[in-house]
Amino acid sequence: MQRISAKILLGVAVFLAVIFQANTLQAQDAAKLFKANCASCHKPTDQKLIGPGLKGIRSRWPDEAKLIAWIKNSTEFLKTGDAYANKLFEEYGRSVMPAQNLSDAEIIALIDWTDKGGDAPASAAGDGAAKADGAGAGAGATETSSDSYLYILIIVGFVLLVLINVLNSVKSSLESLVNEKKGIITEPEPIRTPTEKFRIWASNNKKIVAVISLFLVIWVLKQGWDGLMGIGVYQGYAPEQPIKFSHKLHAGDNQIACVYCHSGVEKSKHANIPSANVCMNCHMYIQEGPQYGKEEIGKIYAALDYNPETRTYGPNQKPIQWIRVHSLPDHAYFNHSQHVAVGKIECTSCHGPIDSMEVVQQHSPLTMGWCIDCHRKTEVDKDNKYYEELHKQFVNDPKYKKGDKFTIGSLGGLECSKCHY
Amino acid sequence: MKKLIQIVFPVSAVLCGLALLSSCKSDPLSPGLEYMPDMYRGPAYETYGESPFNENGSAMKPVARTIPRFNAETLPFHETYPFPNTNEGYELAGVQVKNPYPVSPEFLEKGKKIYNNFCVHCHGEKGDGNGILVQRDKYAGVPSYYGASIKDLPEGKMYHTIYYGKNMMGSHAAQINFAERWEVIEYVKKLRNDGLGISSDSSAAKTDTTAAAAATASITK
Ligand code: HEC
Ligand code: HEC
Ligand code: HEC
Ligand code: HEC
Ligand code: HEC
Ligand code: HEC
Ligand code: HEC
Repeated sequence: MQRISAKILLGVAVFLAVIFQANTLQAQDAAKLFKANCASCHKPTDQKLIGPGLKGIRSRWPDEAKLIAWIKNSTEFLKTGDAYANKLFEEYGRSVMPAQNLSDAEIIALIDWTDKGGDAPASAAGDGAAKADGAGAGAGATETSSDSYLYILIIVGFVLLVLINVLNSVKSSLESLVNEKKGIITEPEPIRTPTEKFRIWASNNKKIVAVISLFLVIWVLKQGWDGLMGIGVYQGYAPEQPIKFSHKLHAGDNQIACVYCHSGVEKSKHANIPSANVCMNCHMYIQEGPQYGKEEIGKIYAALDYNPETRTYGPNQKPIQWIRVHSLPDHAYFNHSQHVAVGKIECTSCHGPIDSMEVVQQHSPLTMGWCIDCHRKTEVDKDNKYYEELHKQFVNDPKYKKGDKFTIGSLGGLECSKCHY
Repeated sequence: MKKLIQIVFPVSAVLCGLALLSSCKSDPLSPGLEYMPDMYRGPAYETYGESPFNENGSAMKPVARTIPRFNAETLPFHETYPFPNTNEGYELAGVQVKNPYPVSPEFLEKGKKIYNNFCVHCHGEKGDGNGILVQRDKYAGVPSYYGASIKDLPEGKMYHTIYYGKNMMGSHAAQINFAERWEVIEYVKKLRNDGLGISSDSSAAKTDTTAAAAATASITK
């Protein structure tokens, strides 16, 4: 009896395993098929794209033969006068679902797969969360490294203080013990306030006091000087933006070229902040983010008065008010195309590692000294035909010494009027 | 011993004070102190600045008596692209819109640069519809240029699609200008020929000059 039941169990297990394998194979195939043929217009969830979301499609099409006919050639099927299909066609603004060159078996696999909502997108979400954690940990690590020096100093100071107190009290009790043994009765010390003690100590140790006050004065001066030099320098400024747009996610992880969004950078003075229609090139499809879900991307839709359900734009459009990070004063002229298109300078040499920033931060000081420094050091691209004449002039100049570098400065990049209107 | 204690005590006290004072960090949310703020925030309207001229806050204000480019009367003369964003417009564009520029290796080189900045993350380096966004499963449904559905696509339809967008592909007219659109289309055609195994020299050589002239007449930059 037992043997038989074991055999049955084994048989069932093998059967189940085979079925499961077949099922997963089918699911994979269906996922692939879906990606290749349907994904540009449908999602396997409730979400609408060009066509309706296909989750629970069986409940909408009780007759599978009709559904297969529809998918094979929707235009032909519409001609049969099917009421539901024609209503759907009107509802989707008469956009045509192209005929699909698939076998019945493939279509049934597709229907099975989409009916239950495709593969659960859990993996993607987990991925994002893990990454977010990683980023958090990374940021924390860098912070501690810059602050740890201070904390160590504070702790060392504290330990020294405690040690001194303990030593002092041990010493005085030892002294009084010794004195007692010797039979000397010392007069109890007069009680003094800490300030009195300090004054007495200071008058006994004039040299130490002098050295310390010198250090203090120097330190205060240095702080004051740094403070004054920092006025008008925004280095490190990283304001919170109205939409939590992450360069790390877009330009870093997804490797979108800077120029895709900052499309003026090679043509004009300004790099351009993209308008919301550029965001929509991708976010028409990507309606949920890994970290903030629909909330932050929803703000793009709100700015455009866009309804992702009907895919229509409303009349109440408002520009997104990004907060400006880099800003030169009005009296200075800076041109991106000169530096990026002609000078072939990478964005990162001025803006720092933007593609790993969650929030844009001003990386460089943008002071006049910073501009001049680079103009003094950087050599001009001599292959640029435009500068041939200038280079000749430079070499023929009587002041020219062999080995002098043909820098931006030699072009006139240090002249006040090049940068100041 | 006493001396040592006398030195160590005040020095450590000062160290503590220093450490506490300098630990006040500057706040990244504030730009910091400004000296003569009006140099940074001058009265002139700056790019991206807000202004009261237009309802949407834009500071663009045409000089008096300039002729608007987009307006019912001037449309026939200034309309940059005459085909409407409809299925009929798409079909018409396929027949009538032609590249007005001669194709040279430099032209294709420029197209490659545009492609790698504006299209590659969806369409993939080889134009197989397998860009980084598709590989990372963020985006789907990008066709291969040499796939069955669009391998015979005429350049006019490509132009129409870049100009208005099509289904899930958005309009890229705001990002790339007239010449750049043709540069990238020629590069797309080269990718397609590479994918189909057709030598691309022949297609570059057979630019039809008469068609090009006709097209320049109908499409003004
Ligand atoms: C070019 C876009 C496009 C593609 C590609 C496409 N469809 Fe559709 N589909 C639509 C549209 C639009 C509708 C809505 C009806 C209409 O307007 O024709 C639709 C409707 C449907 C429906 C009916 C939905 C309902 O709610 O009743 C099904 C099922 C369907 N499509 C399946 C598929 C499958 C399976 C594929 C891939 C093999 C596919 N579609 C590819 C655009 C598309
Ligand atoms: C998907 C579009 C997109 C891409 C790709 C992109 N950016 Fe941005 N960038 C924006 C938006 C939107 C803002 C304004 C919001 C902000 O400051 O975060 C911005 C802001 C900036 C700023 C600060 C502007 C200011 O206010 O001073 C800099 C600098 C910048 N980007 C550089 C880059 C660089 C360098 C790259 C390439 C590595 C890049 N961006 C890629 C969309 C993009
Ligand atoms: C070339 C495609 C592309 C463009 C253009 C684009 N994005 Fe994104 N965006 C993405 C991708 C990919 C994701 C990540 C989706 C994911 O990982 O699930 C994303 C995610 C986001 C998120 C969600 C972040 C989160 O963690 O939840 C926000 C907000 C966002 N983008 C804002 C913008 C804004 C604002 C613009 C326009 C300046 C823009 N995007 C332009 C591709 C793009
Ligand atoms: C030589 C240094 C330098 C390089 C290289 C550079 N930038 Fe800038 N960028 C600046 C300065 C300086 C400003 C501030 C300009 C102002 O306030 O007028 C700025 C401002 C910006 C802004 C703010 C808005 C604007 O247009 O003024 C964006 C966006 C930007 N840069 C993006 C980029 C991108 C993308 C690249 C690479 C293709 C790049 N920058 C390369 C120095 C540079
Ligand atoms: C990373 C180096 C670098 C930095 C930083 C830099 N520049 Fe330049 N700049 C260049 C190069 C390289 C050129 C020359 C490009 C060419 O014409 O070949 C140039 C050219 C110029 C020119 C044109 C000079 C001429 O002779 O016509 C101006 C104006 C200018 N820069 C302004 C600025 C200002 C203002 C800043 C600071 C906000 C700045 N630059 C910061 C590298 C830099
Ligand atoms: C490469 C470009 C460049 C050149 C050349 C240049 N400047 Fe400047 N200058 C700047 C920039 C950028 C600022 C703004 C600095 C800031 O905001 O901190 C500035 C600021 C100033 C200021 C205001 C004080 C300050 O630091 O903010 C004065 C005064 C000035 N420049 C004078 C001159 C004179 C005089 C010359 C000629 C000898 C000159 N500049 C040449 C770029 C330049
Ligand atoms: C955000 C992703 C994305 C970007 C960026 C993108 N495309 Fe597309 N492209 C698509 C999708 C999706 C389709 C399929 C549209 C359809 O037929 O449903 C497509 C279709 C096309 C087609 C075929 C159009 C037709 O008429 O059938 C061409 C040609 C094309 N793209 C060229 C380009 C060029 C050139 C660029 C760069 C300027 C570009 N694409 C940028 C997503 C993108």
